[in-house]
Amino acid sequence: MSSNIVAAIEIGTSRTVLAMGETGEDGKVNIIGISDSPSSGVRKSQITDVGQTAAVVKSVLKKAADDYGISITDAVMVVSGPHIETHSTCGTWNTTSKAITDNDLAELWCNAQNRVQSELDCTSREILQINDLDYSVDDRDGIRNPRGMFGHTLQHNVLAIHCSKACIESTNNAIASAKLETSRRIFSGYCAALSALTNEEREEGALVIEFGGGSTSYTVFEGGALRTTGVVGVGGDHVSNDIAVAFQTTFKQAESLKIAHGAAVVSSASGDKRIELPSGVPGYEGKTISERALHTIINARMEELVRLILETVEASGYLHRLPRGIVITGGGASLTALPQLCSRIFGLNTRVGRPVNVNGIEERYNSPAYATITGALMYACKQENNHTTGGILDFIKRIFK
Amino acid sequence: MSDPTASSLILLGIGGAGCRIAAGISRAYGGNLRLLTLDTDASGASGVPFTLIGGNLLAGRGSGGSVPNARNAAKDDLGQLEQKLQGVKTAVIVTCLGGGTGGGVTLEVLQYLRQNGITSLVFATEPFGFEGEARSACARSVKGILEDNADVTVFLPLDTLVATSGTTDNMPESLQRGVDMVSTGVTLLWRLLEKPGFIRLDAERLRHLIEDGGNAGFATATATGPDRAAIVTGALKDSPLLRSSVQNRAVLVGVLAGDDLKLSEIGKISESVSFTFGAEARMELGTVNDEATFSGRLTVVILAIRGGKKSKAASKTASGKSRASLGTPSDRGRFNRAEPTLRNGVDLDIPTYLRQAITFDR
Repeated sequence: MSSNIVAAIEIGTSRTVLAMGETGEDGKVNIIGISDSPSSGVRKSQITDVGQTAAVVKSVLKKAADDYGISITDAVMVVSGPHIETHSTCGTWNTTSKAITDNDLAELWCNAQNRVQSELDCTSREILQINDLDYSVDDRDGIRNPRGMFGHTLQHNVLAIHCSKACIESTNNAIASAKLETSRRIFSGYCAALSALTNEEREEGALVIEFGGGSTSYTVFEGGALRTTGVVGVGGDHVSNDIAVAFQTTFKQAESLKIAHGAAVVSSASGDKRIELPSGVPGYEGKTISERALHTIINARMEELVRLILETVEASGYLHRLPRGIVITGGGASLTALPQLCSRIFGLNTRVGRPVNVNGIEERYNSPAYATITGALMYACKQENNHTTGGILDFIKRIFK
Repeated sequence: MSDPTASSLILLGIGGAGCRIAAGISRAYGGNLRLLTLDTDASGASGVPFTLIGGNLLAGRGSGGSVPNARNAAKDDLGQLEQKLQGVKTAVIVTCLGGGTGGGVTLEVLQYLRQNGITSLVFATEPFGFEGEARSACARSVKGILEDNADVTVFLPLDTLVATSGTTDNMPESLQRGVDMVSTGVTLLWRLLEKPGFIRLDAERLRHLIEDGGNAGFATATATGPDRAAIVTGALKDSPLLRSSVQNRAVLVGVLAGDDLKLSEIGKISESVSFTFGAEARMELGTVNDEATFSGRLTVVILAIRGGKKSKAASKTASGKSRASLGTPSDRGRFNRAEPTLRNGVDLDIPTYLRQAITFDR
């Protein structure tokens, strides 16, 4: 593995993806290669069989070596699932000099980390990221960069994203069994936003909903910073399961129906068409199902899911601070008419998000399903750059973020 | 009561026919009652407080007979109810099943009431046979989940209801008669609760009766003359609307008459109710003395509640508010052996269409 090449791995409920890249001359990430495979031993975003998961990780590492000639030994690990939670906290620092310096900010970052650790039960929770929200200098609130400002009292608001230690350890076990090290971890929802949002969307306010296989996350960006985030333990597998129960099919058949014929709304286009469904078992006859009924089942689940997210975003106070609307990512974002459903329920413009901040991505990976892994790669490259060029504050932040 | 908005009891009319029943009750009651009507069809509102449901989704043109459409529309607009239900402890809902709004919006409203700790008593008519199998099937598809979400449900099959009147009408007259009979019955109940006589039966006692859940039979009878007590008790005893093979757990009895109401008549009614519905059933009796309205007449209203408590699929949240928890582990498909994904007491692994009783043609 070349010294400048970084990697990120995402063990999702549906797919396990490894991406490799490096920072290009324009500062954007150049994707060198992506290797992926259907996941095994993962359900509802959590490892249920370490051996099966390890085998899949080995297979994507081998594929990366075979296809791109790169041997990956260390990768940033993407963490997802409903065990992820957030914690907000505020710290104060009295400056020693009149103008605020990097040293003051570094002290605040150390304090923030200590404070979050003391306020959380760190025997069962692991801190994934600590994100700057904003600063206050004396009585002036909402400051994003206080460097060089004059004041005596500096306040620092942060949002910590933390997760279950037990879940992380299971994933670690599977990855370590495949001889891969994961020294850093990052939250999937944050990665999706990094990759799919434009700078304008991050600045002015936008919501990213990542429709994963086992869970769905949402992330609000405003003023260039992550403001609030969360995970609902319902994903694309729930949609497929609903279809399987309703039409008495296998889960695999339900998945195929969802992908080929699914839609998030029941519209006039959901006519009387019948969909052929082969039995898959020699000697047994197949059957047909109503396309309208299929859309009814999917609509019920997706409508409920989007409304759950609406409720939580509304409770966070950010619903009316999203002038740039909604960007949907994840494998589920490809579901027909999902943008329309989100638009109707939230009353906001919605677009499907693809990786927009990277170079060299192959067309087949330029889809919402790969936004998270490319975002993780962007994060990995940024960490690598800070490691080689950053100052004291970057060093401190790198430890905690 | 001079200010109806101060009442803890509200009447909700849902759907076109539900709104007409509620408007009829309002007229009969002199307008001085706490009332709200809800419909997906903007043309149905007349002279009573009205809230259009699903204006954005359905454009005020109704649900097209679709329960899922009506439910989705209601979800968008339930927030409008918060202000209008301030201080309400008990909601009496009148609606007609068979169309989209009566079934769909009522289900969503019931879930909202439950989440907000408001006890509900639902009077839901079932369509006449002549209205066709599609409307009957639509009514059947929501009955179960309606029972699960209401505290007490009174199903009134219109065929049975109109048969008790002993009249033969053409189709439109039958429909109007059904609406009128429900209006009259619920108006009598309202008088009993809001204008009690010397034996009080108020909204709070009703709430205690219905909060344990169950289904109920509901009937009224009126007679005049010296044997009027015997006539009404005989009519109620034979009423098909009160027949049930299940033991009644509570019976609400309202006696409405003018100044000529005799204690012996109350005793006779009480004795007959106890005999008919079982001595084990808790009896709550109230009277209304209103010479202007009931001069010479004796009217008895019966709400016989059976089942309840354990028959409901409701669970209490930490805040004391109830939520429906529907479906069984066998409905969870590939998540059968997985830890349930719980949110506010609801297992989200159970398919949404099952929890919301959404029907479809495979």
